[in-house]
Amino acid sequence: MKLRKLNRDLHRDLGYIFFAMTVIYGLSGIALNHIDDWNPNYVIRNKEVSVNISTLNLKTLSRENVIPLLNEIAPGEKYKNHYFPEEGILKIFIKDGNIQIDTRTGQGILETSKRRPIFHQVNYLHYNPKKWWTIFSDIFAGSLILLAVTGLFVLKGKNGITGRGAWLTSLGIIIPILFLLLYYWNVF
Amino acid sequence: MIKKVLGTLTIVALIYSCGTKQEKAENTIEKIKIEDLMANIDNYIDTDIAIGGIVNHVCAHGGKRLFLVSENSDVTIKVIPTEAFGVFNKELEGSSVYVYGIVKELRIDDAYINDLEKEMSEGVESEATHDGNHSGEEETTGIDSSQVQKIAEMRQEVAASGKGYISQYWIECNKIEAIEETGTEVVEKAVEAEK
Repeated sequence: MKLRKLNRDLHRDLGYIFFAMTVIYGLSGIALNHIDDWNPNYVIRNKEVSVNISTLNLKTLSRENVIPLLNEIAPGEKYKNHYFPEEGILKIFIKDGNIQIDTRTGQGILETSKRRPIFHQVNYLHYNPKKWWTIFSDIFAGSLILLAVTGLFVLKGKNGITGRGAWLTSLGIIIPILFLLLYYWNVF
Repeated sequence: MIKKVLGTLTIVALIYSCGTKQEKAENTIEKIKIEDLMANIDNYIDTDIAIGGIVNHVCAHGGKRLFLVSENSDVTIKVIPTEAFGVFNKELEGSSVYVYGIVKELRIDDAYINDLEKEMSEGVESEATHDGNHSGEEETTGIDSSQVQKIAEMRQEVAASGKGYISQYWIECNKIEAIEETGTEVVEKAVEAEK
């Protein structure tokens, strides 16, 4: 009886403590599952631009020459730096992006990137940014296992682990095993 | 009372000496431009160094890689953060910086390429093929045509090297200092990792 109360209390309190962590890792897990389809960290936009640069002397191109050029291409954008990554290509860095211009045609692409709200923050945490965060997330991972185990024994009776719980727990075990049999061990 | 005072002073002295030692260590680190590093990189392997250049690209998916370029040539080097540093901030792109860290070398020979090919076909991403183009970040399963091409190019380079291997270099970064030019004065400010 005491053991069941301890189990229930542990499950309840760990659930409270790690509520936020579960949401954080749940959201970033979904984001990273679909990393091939989108960039969860930044909203990246590309826009075609063109400018007449035939009058500029590219060999002596300085910050003072590039800023008016930038104002012409993308008014309001703040200049950071510029360089030539290869012959015929000028790259201008702006506050949240860059512009690459073909110096022969004056055609280019303006790329801007803005942090994606919520996902940027949760992914930052998911990528284990600091040692102490790794320790904390290890504690969370261990607690998740404990939450799962204690969760099995919260209820008694027909909805507990000897009744409905047994069926649902078995289903949750069978799905990953089936996947492993199909794709990892190639049994079928 | 005297014991307490002496104890406090000892602790203060220890903290102060630790701080100054770290400061001294940072001051002795050689600062060079990326083009000078790349011209003599074999002399700097496993050496603590500060490399000056422009941040050309920070990988947007996780901030775990940064590419530093020279201002006046097309020299590039990959920078990877140490665990203690964390991840790079994408807003660093375009900034003139000093990257503090250790120069590392990976020697790629035929055996390495064979292993790499096997790992790629199993969907394992490799640092050796990550060059700042996003193909390495996006493909996670199977081997695609661009990876096949990269493998073939690596084999050709190894064969052409005459020494049986090619080297890839990167910096393990523990600190970044932004270089801010204010008129004629150059100011260096430590940059924090991504927040």
